[in-house]
Amino acid sequence: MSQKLKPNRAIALLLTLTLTLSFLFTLPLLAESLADGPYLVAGAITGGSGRASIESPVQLSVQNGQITARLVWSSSNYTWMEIAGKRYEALPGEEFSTFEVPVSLDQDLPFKAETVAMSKPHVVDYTLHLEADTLEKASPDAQEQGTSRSGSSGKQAASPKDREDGGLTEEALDKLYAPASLGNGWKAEGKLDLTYAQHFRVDYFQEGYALIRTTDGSRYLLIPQGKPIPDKLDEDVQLIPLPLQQVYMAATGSMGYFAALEAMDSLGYSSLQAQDWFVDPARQAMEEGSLAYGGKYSEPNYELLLAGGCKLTIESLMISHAPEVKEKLEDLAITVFVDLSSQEAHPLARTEWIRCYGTMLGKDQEAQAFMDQQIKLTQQAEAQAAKALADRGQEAKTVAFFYINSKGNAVTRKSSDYLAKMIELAGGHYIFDNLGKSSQSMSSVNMEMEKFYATARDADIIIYNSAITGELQNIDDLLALNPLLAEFKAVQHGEVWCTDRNLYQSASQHGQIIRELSIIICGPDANNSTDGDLDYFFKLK
Amino acid sequence: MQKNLGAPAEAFVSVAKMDRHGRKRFFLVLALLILALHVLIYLNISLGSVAASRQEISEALRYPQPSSELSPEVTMMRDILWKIRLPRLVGVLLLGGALALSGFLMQTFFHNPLAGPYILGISSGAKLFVALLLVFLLSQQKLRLSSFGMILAAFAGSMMCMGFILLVSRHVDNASILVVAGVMLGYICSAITEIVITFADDASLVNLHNWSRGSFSGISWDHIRVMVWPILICTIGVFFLAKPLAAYRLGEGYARSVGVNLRLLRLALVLFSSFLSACVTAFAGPISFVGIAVPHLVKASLQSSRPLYVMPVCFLGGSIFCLACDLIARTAFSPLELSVGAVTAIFGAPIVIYVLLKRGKNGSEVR
Repeated sequence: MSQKLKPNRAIALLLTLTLTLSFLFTLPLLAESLADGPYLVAGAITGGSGRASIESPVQLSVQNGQITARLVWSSSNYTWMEIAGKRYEALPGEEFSTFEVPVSLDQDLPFKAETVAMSKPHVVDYTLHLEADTLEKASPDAQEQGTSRSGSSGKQAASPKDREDGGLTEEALDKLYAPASLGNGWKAEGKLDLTYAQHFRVDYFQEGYALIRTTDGSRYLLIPQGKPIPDKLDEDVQLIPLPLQQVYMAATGSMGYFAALEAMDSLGYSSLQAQDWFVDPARQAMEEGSLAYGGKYSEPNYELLLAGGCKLTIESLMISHAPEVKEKLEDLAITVFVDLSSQEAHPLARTEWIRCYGTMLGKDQEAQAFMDQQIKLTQQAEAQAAKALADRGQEAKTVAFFYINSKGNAVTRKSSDYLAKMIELAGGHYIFDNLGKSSQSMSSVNMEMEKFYATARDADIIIYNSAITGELQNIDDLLALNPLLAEFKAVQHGEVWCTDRNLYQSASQHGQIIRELSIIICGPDANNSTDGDLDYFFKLK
Repeated sequence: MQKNLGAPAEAFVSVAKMDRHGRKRFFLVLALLILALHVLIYLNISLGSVAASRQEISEALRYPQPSSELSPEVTMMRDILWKIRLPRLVGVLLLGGALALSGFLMQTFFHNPLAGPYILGISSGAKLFVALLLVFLLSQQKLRLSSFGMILAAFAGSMMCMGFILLVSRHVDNASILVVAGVMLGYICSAITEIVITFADDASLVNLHNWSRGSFSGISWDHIRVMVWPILICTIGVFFLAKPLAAYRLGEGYARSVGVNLRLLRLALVLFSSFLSACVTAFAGPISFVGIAVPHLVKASLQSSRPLYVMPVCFLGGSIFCLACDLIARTAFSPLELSVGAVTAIFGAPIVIYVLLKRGKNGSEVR
């Protein structure tokens, strides 16, 4: 037989290839050829400062193949949107800025929008993304669907969860969770209503059993004291026997929750040594000996944990990069609970993880009360910010948050980071408002000095992140890092602040931190607290 | 075929004369090492963060599986011994021996006392692949990985480097060029790793740094089951190279003259050495100085460089050296664990310095 492909076969192959390719290229067109009518689709926007969001699911209307989306913003300050050079004005008479714009599915749509949130109109770049695989036909009453959610503050429209850019839509979240079942036929009798947090859920079952689910697909069943382990559980359900005892705390950001709930006696081991804790109860417990050093998260002292009767370790996401440690702990019958609070987009969502630990510790009410207090502090800060802006009639003060590393680069936080959001909530404007994509997991961004100087030198306020490089004592210490900093407006006006090293161990206190930021940015608060009353920041002189 | 009968003949005569002495010394050193091994095994089993009596330990050792007959204290000790200390001990024995043997092969092949298992860029390739995995897959949450995933990634990186070196070795006869190629490859991998790190988040940076320090912590029986066969097979394969290596040691010309296929030998040496060091790097990360220092210690104690004697003692010596260093690393500042690479460097580097000084004085290598 000839080595060469016979002509007939070659033609057949070519035809097959052509048909296949044509089909593949045509698929998107076929998919977009929707029947006329109303639809709902999950959507989100990225870009800007990270505060704004759109209501999801998005209402679509299809007519003669043309798809129009009704975009309802989380703010009433947007006046127009510009897509592909064409401007669309906000619909009149709507509580929040609402636009009807042409869109396409599964294709990122860049656009500009003007906001009058600050006294001068400001045009911001955004990108709209609609997830075609969540598309579903809407009933004629589509306008009533999926638009009202309530939070603990009692608001009906656009709950805090919807307001956060970088947060996930409900449909996207549902896909990340494992089912709220145990595999033994038990049905959930209730669930924990959360206001901000998206990355954990709690479902209540009979006789006090509770299931904690997290968005990495994990499920943890809390076994009440004295109760047996239920039969026929799904294999992946991990057990947390109550009450919590001798817990190995390897997620340093989570220590604050236990401190706030006065539950230090549930902990047995820590991944930091006493001098590295800035959470006072933790340091005290280690100095007193009631909390022992259990080795670093990446090299825990397995013998100590096993001998001490540790049955639960609380780890941060860092553990996902050290899978052999997680496997070893599980091999030793120690449940590994991975705290995903760092995945939360909203600062108060991180704080709301206290309710997850409140469930574990049997301190639900205390956790709720603490959370309400943090929400109250945040609302006070927001109110003060609004008042300060109205009184001054000026734009929000710009804030730069950074540190200088050993190589002389400025390391800042990306625009959608929770710290940037805290600054916005406190009435400021994070000056690096177009830094890093929200899809990128790294929270810090290395900026070379030229770019940093061009952006940050006009910032009204500088907050130096001393948690990484060690505290600065005065302005001279700051200028020693880079003499260029003397040219900064904030330095010349004496508006230079430093974080205390406890900032990153205080996820439970974000309401308090936002309040302190508002005092820095907007001045004394309603209680006449001044910048001398701050726990997390101090002024460099 | 020209035969240079002068130097090799003299070497043969001296070896023949030495042979009885050499054998005696070999068995003496072996006996001492076996004794040292027993002592270190005993210490590694007995010592740790949790104290236990000899009785508790011996009772716990009799029960590989949980038993209701045991008291709570012994049950706890049983778990510690069988799940933590013993798998770690076996892992250290295997990996330490593999590293030392790999180092000996490289030193013999390159006639260079400073050659080590990583001279061909093995650890740099492993680190590169681990960095890629951490930064681009785990961080983007595109993947959830088990420990074997990390091991595979490190192994794949090492094999990539080994493949490159094998390709180069097919085209060059000069071993020095191979060293240069290996070192350059190491630099390239390190440079790419630095670029990858630019995109790394804080978690990846920290974990990559932790991985780079090397550690025997966390070795489990599952890991042992995977590593034991490749290491044993390679070790046996290396022993079969004893004779051609012995000839090669006396010069390439001589080796060729007695019928050694140099190209095949080169290939086998690179293959076995790289595979052994890749196994170690994959399971424990880069562990420095074991592969450089232990062969020197062994040759000095045997007063011989004959591969037939040195290789088994090297394996044993590497196991013992790593056992001792690991014991120090995990108990010196317990519950804090030192980096085992730091401990091996503290003890290994002075040995290397001593050897170099001695070479400088005597002007010759131990034969």
